[in-house]
Amino acid sequence: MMILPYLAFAKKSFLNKSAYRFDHIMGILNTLIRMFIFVEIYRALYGGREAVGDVTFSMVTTNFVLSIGLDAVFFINDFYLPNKIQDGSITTEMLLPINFHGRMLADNIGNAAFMLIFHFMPVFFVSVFFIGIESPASCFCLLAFLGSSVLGYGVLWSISFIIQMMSFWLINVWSFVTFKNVLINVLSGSMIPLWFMPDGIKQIMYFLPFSSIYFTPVQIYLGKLNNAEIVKGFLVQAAWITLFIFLGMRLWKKGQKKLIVQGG
Amino acid sequence: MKIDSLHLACIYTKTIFKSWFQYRANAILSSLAVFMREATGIIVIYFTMMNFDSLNGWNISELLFLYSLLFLTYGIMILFFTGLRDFGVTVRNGNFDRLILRPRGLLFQLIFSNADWFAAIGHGGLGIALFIISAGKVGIVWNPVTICYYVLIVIGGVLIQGAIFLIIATLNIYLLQTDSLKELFYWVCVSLQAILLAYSVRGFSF
Repeated sequence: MMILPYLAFAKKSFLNKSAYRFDHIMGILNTLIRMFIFVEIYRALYGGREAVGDVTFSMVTTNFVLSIGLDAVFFINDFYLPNKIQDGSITTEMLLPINFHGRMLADNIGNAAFMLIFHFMPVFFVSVFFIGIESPASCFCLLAFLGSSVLGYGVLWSISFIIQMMSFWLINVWSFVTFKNVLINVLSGSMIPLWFMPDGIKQIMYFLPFSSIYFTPVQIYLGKLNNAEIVKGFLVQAAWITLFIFLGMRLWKKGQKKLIVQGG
Repeated sequence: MKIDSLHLACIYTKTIFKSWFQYRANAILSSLAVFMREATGIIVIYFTMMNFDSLNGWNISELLFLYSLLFLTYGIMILFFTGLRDFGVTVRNGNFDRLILRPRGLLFQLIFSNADWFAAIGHGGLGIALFIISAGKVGIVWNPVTICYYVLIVIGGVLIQGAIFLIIATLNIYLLQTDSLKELFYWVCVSLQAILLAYSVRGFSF
């Protein structure tokens, strides 16, 4: 497989992002405000206490800085395929001598790379300076955190992949995308640190992919998982990615045969 | 104001209602999706408060009551001010020029020519649901005076948010890509409004 055309697609989406500078700076401000709001709410909730249960305040702030920061990098355009089906440009895409999913992924990775360098980095430095986060438990934990984040991105991407493939059958996927985002927001740890979830829900979460997105990397970063658990975390993430990609590819094969274009 | 304005507003409303509910399954799913999206914050707060007793002296019922006001006012507001929310698109695709040419007030046309019914049902429904859950538990004695006070608070909330949308809408005449700025500005304003609402609710004497 030739990698060059995909690199070109990634570069294009990278450059695309840099077009609106004012909008970008406002976006950074948005992320920072979101982070500060969550941290301040928890500061009020903790009310000067060091720890609630065995969760310390610095664990909570670290969770928010990392997962909200990653959330900005992990932005995936859920309407990439739906829009192409709606306006008919999917037919041209199918004629190109490249893999369409590779192109989808390249587009998202270019975007993520831009956000990592120009959004996550400034936000991270400001928040480390003003909010303060725990340092990684060890050098190994930091490396494992980076690896686990990449896999977390994979889980998020493959969930979006399945939802997008549904647009062959559904005219409007917006509501399904929204339902998906609700589940991700509540169960991935970016709005509530999952240590605070009631036990019953923790049991259910164990069988769902959402905590693999942000919470597994954050747990690894904080050194809450031992080596065996880290390996298990990686395997669970990889298993979800494989399952979703497999299902998504099945949908893609079936969808191609009944493609209906509505405009263009 | 022309005499037939009311009649015109009725025709607008009827047509908009028909167009939003043309595809019924989609209408139900979209309204439900908005409801769920907005309920996310509530679910998160509920789970969080299971671990903590109070947030700076506010307990969970009081927080839900405040949220019910925010959602209810937004649900009513969006029926009137959707045209201002989407004003950027109207300017960019040239539809604003069409409005200018018509012999009716610009704001009148913007207010009555669109209404986001899915947002209205989603936000408003959540507001009503939260109100039902919390209204009996926040220690308010519901008598004619407090009911009037409540209605006034709701009307005030609707108008404040409408005014925020009007300010943001005018920015579109000067700036091209304002989405992030709008979001930022909107949330700052909504937080301020939440504080105002909290103060007016304090008037209920919790």
